[in-house]
Amino acid sequence: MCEHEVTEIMTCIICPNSCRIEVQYDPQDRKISRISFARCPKGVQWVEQEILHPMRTVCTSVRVLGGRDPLVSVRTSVPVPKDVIEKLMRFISTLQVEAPCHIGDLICRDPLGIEVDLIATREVTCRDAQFTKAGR
Amino acid sequence: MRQLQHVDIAVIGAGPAGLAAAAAARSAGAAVIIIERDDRAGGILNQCIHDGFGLQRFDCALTGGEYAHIDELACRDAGVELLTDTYVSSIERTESGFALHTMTTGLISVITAAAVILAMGCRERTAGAISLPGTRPAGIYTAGTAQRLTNMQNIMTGSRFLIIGSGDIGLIMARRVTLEGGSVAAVTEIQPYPGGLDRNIRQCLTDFSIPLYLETGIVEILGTDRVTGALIAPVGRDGLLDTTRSTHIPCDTILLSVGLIPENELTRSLDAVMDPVTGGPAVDEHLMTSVPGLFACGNVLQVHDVVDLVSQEAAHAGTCAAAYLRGERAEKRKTITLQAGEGIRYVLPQSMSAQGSTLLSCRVRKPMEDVTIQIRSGSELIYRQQLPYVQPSEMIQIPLDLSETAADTSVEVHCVRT
Ligand SMILES: Cc1cc2nc3c(=O)[nH]c(=O)nc-3n(C[C@H](O)[C@H](O)[C@H](O)COP(=O)(O)OP(=O)(O)OC[C@H]3O[C@@H](n4cnc5c(N)ncnc54)[C@H](O)[C@@H]3O)c2cc1C
Ligand code: SF4
Repeated sequence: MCEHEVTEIMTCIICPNSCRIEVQYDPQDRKISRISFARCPKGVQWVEQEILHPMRTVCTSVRVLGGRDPLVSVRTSVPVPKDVIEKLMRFISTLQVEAPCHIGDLICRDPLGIEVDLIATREVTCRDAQFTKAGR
Repeated sequence: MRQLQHVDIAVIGAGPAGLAAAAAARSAGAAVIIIERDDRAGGILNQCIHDGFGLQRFDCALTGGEYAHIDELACRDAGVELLTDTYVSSIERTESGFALHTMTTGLISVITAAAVILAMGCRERTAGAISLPGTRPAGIYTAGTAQRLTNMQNIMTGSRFLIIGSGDIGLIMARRVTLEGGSVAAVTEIQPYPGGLDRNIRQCLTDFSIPLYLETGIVEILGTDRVTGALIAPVGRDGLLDTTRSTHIPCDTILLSVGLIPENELTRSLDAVMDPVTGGPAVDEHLMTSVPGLFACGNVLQVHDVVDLVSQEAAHAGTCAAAYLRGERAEKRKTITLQAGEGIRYVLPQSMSAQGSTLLSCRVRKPMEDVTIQIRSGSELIYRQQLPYVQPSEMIQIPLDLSETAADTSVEVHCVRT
């Protein structure tokens, strides 16, 4: 074990098994020397990524006009680097879409130019459709 | 006006539990109706816009809404009737099963069913339930209420937050309000370990450098009209808050994430035997309560942290309810009681018939490393499994087969140091 190395217990967030993975690495040059206690290979990959370049799926919501709900929940199509989250959230706060929205709809194509789209994760029907339902 | 409708199986609640139970019962041939008080199916999942659902079942991290949508479509395709905006106000036993009194805006009706599956979920413990000291200014919410307001109604509940209790909803909300431009001064937890899953601690607190103070409680909430702050203090040696070491945390909003209580008013009104630890009814391996024909699953039975397990449990309840209707019940065999032994807080099911098999769920009392889960029948060890780490926030599930076990014993589950 070289001088700068640290041992850290990282709880894997890939699945609810929440393995407590032990990792030995050098924080200066980010070199990993050992990874133990991961119950599956996804956990090993995750720890490597978490130390080299951490990524997160961003889940939030966007304003909707004319919908039965004022918001449609959205997520990034793939995880994004942690350090762009703030910029992405600022952009999303300016967005507005029109109802209806369906799960899987493209809400915004690649807002940051890093090949990440925003995708709808909730069904939002039009407010009018709601009236028809009530009058049924 | 009173209307009457008869079905084989009525499911109360259209959260993930109700949806999965209904789909399973329908595919086993029963005529099924789901009754939901909200204007849509999905239950608590509708306000969970974060991802992390379905990792075990679908091998991908869905949001709550996406997960619920899959089950809702499955129910519609299977021909389950879904009645929204309808509240089950009371339930009674009849000669042929149950009568459910329901209310839909201005309309009272009765639905009769040969069997009922309870899937009403939980509600949150409130400030009253934990006797929070200090005044009651505006700005105090349960974390789930704040989640609903923020994610469904676009109402931000404050700008500077203190979160009391480290349950999952509180952790998820810490990240949510931070992403929305608010700040979280701290999360406090009276226990020496966090209440929520580790993964939520990491991605909701650590990611945003939000401090978590363990063994810390609230001395007083400050503010007259609106919250202005709170005094927090660590737990001293005597187990009481050490007010000589109290700290002032300025904040305008307090979110409570101090636990969930299964919503069992209807269950109790039928005099079903309850388990004081889970807060839900006691069930057998078919997830049937002490009332014949009355089944329970999901958070109304035991508080779950992973929705995949809710769906699995509920599908089992649905299948068993359909089998009950067909009269496929094992001839009355002796019942074996399942009990929580050393280190275990509760075991579910609470009883099963001799020679039966089940997927047993249990939770430990406190976090422990290098343990062995042992299941004993009298002096005989019938199951053992070594685990590197266990904690109360994670449910442990064990497939248990009692076909080799003597009928007249009780079974105990223990968690001991290896
Ligand atoms: C904030 C939060 C975050 C979570 N995060 C995750 C996660 O990341 N990953 C994961 O796997 N799991 C997660 N979970 C856990 C999982 O989502 C829950 O355990 C699950 O949703 C419980 O399902 P349920 O159907 O039992 O209850 P619910 O979803 O609460 O559904 C109960 C339904 O019953 C209805 N109802 C109640 N009483 C009546 C009545 N009298 N008449 C008619 N209808 C009635 C209610 O309106 C509701 O729709 C989370 C839970 C919460 C609360
Ligand atoms: S290591 Fe594998 S099993 Fe363990 S939490 Fe991560 S993804 Fe799940």
